[in-house]
Order: sequence, then structure tokens, then C-alpha cells
Amino acid sequence: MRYSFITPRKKELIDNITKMWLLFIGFVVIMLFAFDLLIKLKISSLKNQMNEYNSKIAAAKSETKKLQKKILFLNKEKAVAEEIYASNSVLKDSIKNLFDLVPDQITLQKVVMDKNSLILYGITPSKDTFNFLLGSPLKSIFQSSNTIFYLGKDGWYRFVSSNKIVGNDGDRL
Amino acid sequence: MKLAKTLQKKFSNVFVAILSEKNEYVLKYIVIKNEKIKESEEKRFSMDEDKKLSSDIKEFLLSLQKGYKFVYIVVLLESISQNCLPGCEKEKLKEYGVEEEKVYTVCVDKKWMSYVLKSDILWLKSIFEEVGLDFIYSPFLVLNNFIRNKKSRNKNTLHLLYSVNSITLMLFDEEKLVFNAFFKIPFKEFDFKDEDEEELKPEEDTNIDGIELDNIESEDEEFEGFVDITKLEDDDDSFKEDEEILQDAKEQIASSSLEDLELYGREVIIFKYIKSAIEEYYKNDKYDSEFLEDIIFYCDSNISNDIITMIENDLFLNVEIHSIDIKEEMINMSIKEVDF
Repeated sequence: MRYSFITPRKKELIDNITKMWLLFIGFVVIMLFAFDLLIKLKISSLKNQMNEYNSKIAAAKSETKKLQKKILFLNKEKAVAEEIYASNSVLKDSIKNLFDLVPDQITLQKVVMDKNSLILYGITPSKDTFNFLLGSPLKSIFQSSNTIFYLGKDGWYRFVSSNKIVGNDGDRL
Repeated sequence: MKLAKTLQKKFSNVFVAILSEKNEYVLKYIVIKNEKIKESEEKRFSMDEDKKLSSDIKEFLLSLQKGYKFVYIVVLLESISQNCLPGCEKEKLKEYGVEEEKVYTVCVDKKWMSYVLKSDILWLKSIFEEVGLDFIYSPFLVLNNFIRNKKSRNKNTLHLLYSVNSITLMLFDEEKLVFNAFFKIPFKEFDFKDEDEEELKPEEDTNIDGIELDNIESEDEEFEGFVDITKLEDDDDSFKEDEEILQDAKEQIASSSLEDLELYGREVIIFKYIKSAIEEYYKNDKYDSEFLEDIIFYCDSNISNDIITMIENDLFLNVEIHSIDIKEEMINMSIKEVDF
């Protein structure tokens, strides 16, 4: 209902300066909240990252363990390989030595080489040839050395010489 | 908007009605909080020579507005440039020779409107420039509200709002406005000689009429139907009669004290105004006039029995008197307008 010739002045509960202040404070509060949100987001993303890294660390740790085990195994393998290689070279040397040892008059038919024993089968022209040329060096290498001769139809002797190493020096041929 | 209004109700709202009485401003204010009246007081402040607000009233109003956020200052417009027209259409103004762009209007019940010169509003605003002004009410609207309360809107009953500074007359036929008049009661000087001389000055005429008198008189005969002081003064016969009455009165009260003299002078002038208004109503063909039987006075200040007797004896009207409070009604109107 209008009675008046004029309209009333605008009545404001809050004056302009207070309004500006409130606006400013509101703005600051909003900024603070925004900043807070930003920090929270950053924190959560960092946490995620941290979790990721932690799981990576755990994975890496287990991997390390595995690898260590592998290294250990490989080391052992290496040792074994080296051993084999060494024993092979020793064997090679021994065989070479053996064949160097055998004189031209004696023919080897069969050689059985074991860890601690050596059995030789062959033909020799005479017992003495064997005993002098092969028997004595074998005796010096092996602790026990027995040779059995039997005469063949052609007048040559077939022999079986079994040699053994006993005791500490057992793994040497 | 609704929220703002609800919120506003929670605070103290102050309505200040200001009415000028002679050389004083009478101020009534109420403080309303949560739809309850917390405080109500009436104060009087003296008026400066040039009707400007004195420093006392300024200080009071400013301190009030400092103390409360919602202060509404309400003033009654006692300017003789105001008038009423039946109908609310803007074209009506033109019809009655009023320039639309020069007046402020208020429509009442879509039946009639009250208008006033913009310059008068600006003048009133300039007086209240420092303290602010929220509502300016026409006494026509105030009177209409009182009549509404009484519900006696027939063509035989004239309604009169009597305040210290002015009288306002209205006559209704149901909702239709039939006749209206407004007079300012001079109070400054009761040296009758001066008063008479002033009234006879031609330039005073234009001042009183306010709304481009020349236009109205030359172009629109109908406008004469509306009563204003100029017309009354133009009416030579009645004016002479009034002069005689005044003359008699002067002689009669020559020996009385100044105050009595002033009072009696006032009554004579009021009677003169009422009589001339009624004569205008009877004589002017524009009004489909019926015989008036009753006159109801809505008095804001005391009215002496002499004037009642005069009206009863000379105008043959039954007088009914209601004592009312214009300032309170102004406050009620402003509360309604703020939509509390």
C-alpha cells in the first residue's frame, strides 16, 4: 500500500565500510580455505606417492633378497665350476702326463681312471720293459701298485696294472 | 526481500512522525521490535524563523538515526498546492489542467488521487535534507483513513480533519470522492490588519494557488470546482461578509487577553473557511450537491465550543467530534507502507 508522495530512503543494516570489510574478510577466508584445500590435496597426493614408493621399496627389498640368494647360488656354482675346471685341467694334465709316461714299446688297450685309482690294460714285449719303463714311475706316484701279467699267443705279455692312492693325498691321481 | 523484512522485524524500528504546530515541531516516535512497541514518546521543538529545523530537532533526529538502523521519518504535508482528483488515470490530470510532470501523485483505492507540486516536496525535502525524510503524507489520505475507520461515507456527511495548522475537508459518496478542500490556518500574526492586507495582495494569490493559476482559470473552467483559498478570496461577497465577521470579532474581543484574542481569531478564520467551502459546494454546478446534514470533526487538538455553536447555528449542521491523533495515524500508515 502506498500512501506517501516519496519513497523511503534505503535502510541498510550494514554500512558500506563494514560491507567492504566483510567482503574482504570473506575473500580472505575463502582464500584460506582454498589454500587449505590445495595443501590437503598436495598432502594426499604425496601420501599416495609415498605409498607407491613404499610398495616399490618392499618390492625392491624382496627382489634384493632373491638376487642375493641368486648371487649366493651363483657363487657356489662358480666355485663348483672353478673346481670342475681345475679338476678338469688337473685331469687333462694327469692324462697328458700318463700318456707321456707310457713308453713306445708298451701299447695301452684300455685305461680306467677313477678318483683314487688307475687301472691300465695293455700289451708289453716283456715284464722287465714294463717294470722298468712304466712300473717304477707308477710306483712313485701311487702308494699301492699291482701288476698282473699273462702271456699272449704271440709271445707278448698282456698286463693289468691297478694303482691306488690311499690317505691324505687321495684326491690326486 | 521477505527475508530482509523478517530480519528487519528482529531489530528496533523507529517511526518518527513530525507535525508542525504554529511555531513548533511536534514529534512523536515509537520504537517497534518484534512487532511490539518498546518505546513511545512525544517531544516538542521550536521552529526557526524560516521554518528550518532547529539544531535541537536536528540533533535529536540524527542521534536517533545513529542509535537505530531503521528510522523512518514521516511528515505531514501541509502545502496548499495539494489537491485531489476523482480517478487514478494520469490523463485526468490533464483534464483538470494539471501538468503531469510538475506534480507527484498518490492513488487511493484506485478511486481517487491526491497530487502535489514537486517543488513543494523538494522544499520539504530541503528542510529535512540533513536528517533525511522517508514518507510525506497528504492530510487527505490521513483523513480518508479516519473516515474509513468510521464508515460513514454518504453524501450528507462532511468530514473535517482539524490540526493546529490546517483543516482538511472531504465528502464521499460511498467510495467516490465528491468534494475536497484544504486550508492552512494562519497563526503567525493576529494583527488582523496585516492579515487582511496580505490576503489582498495579488502576488499572494498566485502563491497560494500554487498550480499555475493563470492556466487553470483561463483554460479550464471545471477546475474552479476545486476549492482553494484563492477562489474564496475571489468570491467578493463572502469575503466581505467574512471581513465583517472579523471586524465584529475584533471589536468584541478588544478587551480580552492576547491569547484569547488569538484563539478567537483562529476560530473565526476556521469558521470562515468551512463556510466558504460549503458555499462553494452548494453553488458550483459541477458538484451534484445534496443538502449536507452532518459534519464530523476529526480533531488532533482541542477545538472550542464556540466554533461548534457557530456551525450548528449558522450552517445548520449536526456536529460530531472525534478526537484523534494525526501523528499516530501517520505512524500507522508508515508501518503499513513499510509492510511490517
